[in-house]
Amino acid sequence: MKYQDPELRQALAAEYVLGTLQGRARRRFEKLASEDARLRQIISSWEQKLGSLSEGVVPVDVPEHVWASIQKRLGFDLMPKARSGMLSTFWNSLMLWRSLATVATIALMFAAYLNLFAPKLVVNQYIAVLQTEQQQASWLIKSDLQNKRMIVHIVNEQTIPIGKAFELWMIKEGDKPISLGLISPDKQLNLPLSDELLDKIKQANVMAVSIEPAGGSPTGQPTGPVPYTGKVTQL
Amino acid sequence: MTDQLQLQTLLAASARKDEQAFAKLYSLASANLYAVAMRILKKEAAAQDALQEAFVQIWHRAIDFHSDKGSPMAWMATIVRYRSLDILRKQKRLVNVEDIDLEQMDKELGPLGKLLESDMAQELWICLQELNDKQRNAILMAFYEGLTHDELAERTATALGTIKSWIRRGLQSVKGCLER
Repeated sequence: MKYQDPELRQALAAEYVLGTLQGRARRRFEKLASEDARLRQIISSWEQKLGSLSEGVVPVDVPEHVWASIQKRLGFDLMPKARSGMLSTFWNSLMLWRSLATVATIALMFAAYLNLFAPKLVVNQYIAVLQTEQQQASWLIKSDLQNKRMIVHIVNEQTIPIGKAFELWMIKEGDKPISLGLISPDKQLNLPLSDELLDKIKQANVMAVSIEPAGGSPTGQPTGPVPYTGKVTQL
Repeated sequence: MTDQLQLQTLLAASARKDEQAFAKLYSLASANLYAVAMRILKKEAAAQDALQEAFVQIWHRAIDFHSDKGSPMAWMATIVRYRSLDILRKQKRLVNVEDIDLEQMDKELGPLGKLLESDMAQELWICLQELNDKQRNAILMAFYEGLTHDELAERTATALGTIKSWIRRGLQSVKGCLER
């Protein structure tokens, strides 16, 4: 077979992705691709094109034992069943958050941990531990009203897609979120706080991080998903 | 509708072996991906096997995903389709291809809005509209149901050579259209 013919390569790659290239021809083509980076690129390009058709299917509920088997195969620690159904809106995720009784406990635990390393007992601090829906802590936000600073500690490094940024918000129940600026997924920040913001932080119930275009929300309000939220606790 | 950006973030975290992120990814994507496997395999046990194989692979290959490889859902669905096709070819097809109801399939695919999640899906859909009905249906049946050339010929009562040419030319036109 003249596997170098560009048209043939395109045609075979397309039918490989579509699934109509079958049997021995399919195996042979896979072997060929494993040794030919250019061919893999052609396949990948077809996978992008045709793969998007899968977005149109109507979802079907999966029995729970499938996830249990996958965890077992991968050697995961047994963890709570993945939550089904996504809380996509900002306010929904806040509602969820309020219902979590563990929040304050975790926040205090972290505060105690940090104070071990702080020689003087700092009072008048507001802290929030930002967590994912799975309650994995990602940032600890400490607002120090005496020194008028906000410190963003990294608890677990997060990953952000290229071209996107994490934006921190504080929310007082019933009011619109107020931006506290962009925060880094992996670097501690120590930022000055204006008197105006200090006032607002005292009244805030919740802090949250949304995913925004690089440079921050274009509207002044969260526009992307809000994967991280945390209750504000006074110390 | 699942947010592609969130899936992308979760895939990136899974690449760093974040088990919680992977659990979340599973909870968000599995119903869609299971549907992809069910369409091809028609049998729950087989579709569950395919889904399981695929997620094991997604965990190990998450690091290979980049947003320039298309939408995360399309990327994961491709893995599910390949595993499903493997399983399908290993077992004798137990479903009579005559039973596959093309009208029902069109209905399930529903209004365009359902499909138009990513930019690529939108462009592809527009390009598929440029094909004649027979070409488009042959491609969609192969994609969604995993039908072979022979099965497509049988299902549409068309000569094998004609089916092959519909698909080959159809795919060529789609490529040309997408590159315009």
